[in-house]
Amino acid sequence: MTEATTGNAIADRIAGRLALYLGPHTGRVAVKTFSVKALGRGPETLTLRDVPALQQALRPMLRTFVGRAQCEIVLEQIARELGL
Amino acid sequence: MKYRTLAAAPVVLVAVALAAWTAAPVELRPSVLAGAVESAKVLALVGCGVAAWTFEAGDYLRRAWLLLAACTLFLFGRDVVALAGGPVLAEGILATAGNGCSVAGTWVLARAWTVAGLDEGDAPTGKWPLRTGAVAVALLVTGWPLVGDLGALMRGDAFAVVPLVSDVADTVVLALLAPLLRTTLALQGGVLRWPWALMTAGNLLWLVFDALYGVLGLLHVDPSRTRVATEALRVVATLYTASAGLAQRKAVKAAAT
Repeated sequence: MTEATTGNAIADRIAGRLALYLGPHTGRVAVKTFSVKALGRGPETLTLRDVPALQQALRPMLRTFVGRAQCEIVLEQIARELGL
Repeated sequence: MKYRTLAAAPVVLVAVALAAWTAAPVELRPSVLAGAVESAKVLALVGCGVAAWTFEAGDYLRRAWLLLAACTLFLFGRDVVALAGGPVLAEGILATAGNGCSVAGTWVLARAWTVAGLDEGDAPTGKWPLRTGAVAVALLVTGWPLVGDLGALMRGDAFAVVPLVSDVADTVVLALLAPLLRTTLALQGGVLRWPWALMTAGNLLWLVFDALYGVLGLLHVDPSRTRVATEALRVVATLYTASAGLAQRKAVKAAAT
């Protein structure tokens, strides 16, 4: 059985990076929750142009769990993985 | 250190302490127990300190770990005052401050999920059964001593305020098991589950400790007959706070790798 995905490669890459800290389920929930919050649409519609806005929306959540310094490292890793 | 090692360490350390207690001459056994309890508090203080300094000033979880470190420090101070035969009032003040910090620190930790904005996707009805269940269990465990201490205070025993505050603090901390457990389960598969899982394990052991104390009181069992068991529980529960603090650092630093 395979892990559930959003069907969007960008959303899946971000969820995969977050899964290291939050687990696979909450990684996907976070991408979905903050995509809807920041962009007004689901993660299946994500494009590379949406990533900075999504990163901005993910920042308070990541800061809560890993602190400001580590949060920036995680966001940088996401950007690097997506070639931004 | 691996997460599983951190999870196993409290049990191994308490087994070592119990072996030392068994091997010690009878007249030294109370000192061995006291040494184990105080060493566990020092380790918990180190664990909370390490976790707090993993974060920067202003970071949300730094506040939680600083409060838990302050709780351990106050309770350690209370023990030092008691061992030195200091004033009962000072013991009461330190115990009350420690309990206050315990409630505040656990509250901050338990609210992390909500503060992170992750509960926006949760069904509102899903939270209540777990919350209600946790409050009911907490009151079941702490209700009896709470009523007893309240009665003593009403009869004019001013010093009953110290155990009363402790009972209230225990009730709140035990009720906070629900959000701690929820966060642990939600973070399943991620490294951040470890600090929450270990804090939850510690709080579950405090629940058992309080329940055991309550039952022994109800059965009028002489506390000295069960001291080894209750102190072993106290040590292992305290050591889980130390493990949780170290796991918090390891999990946060995983971001840099």
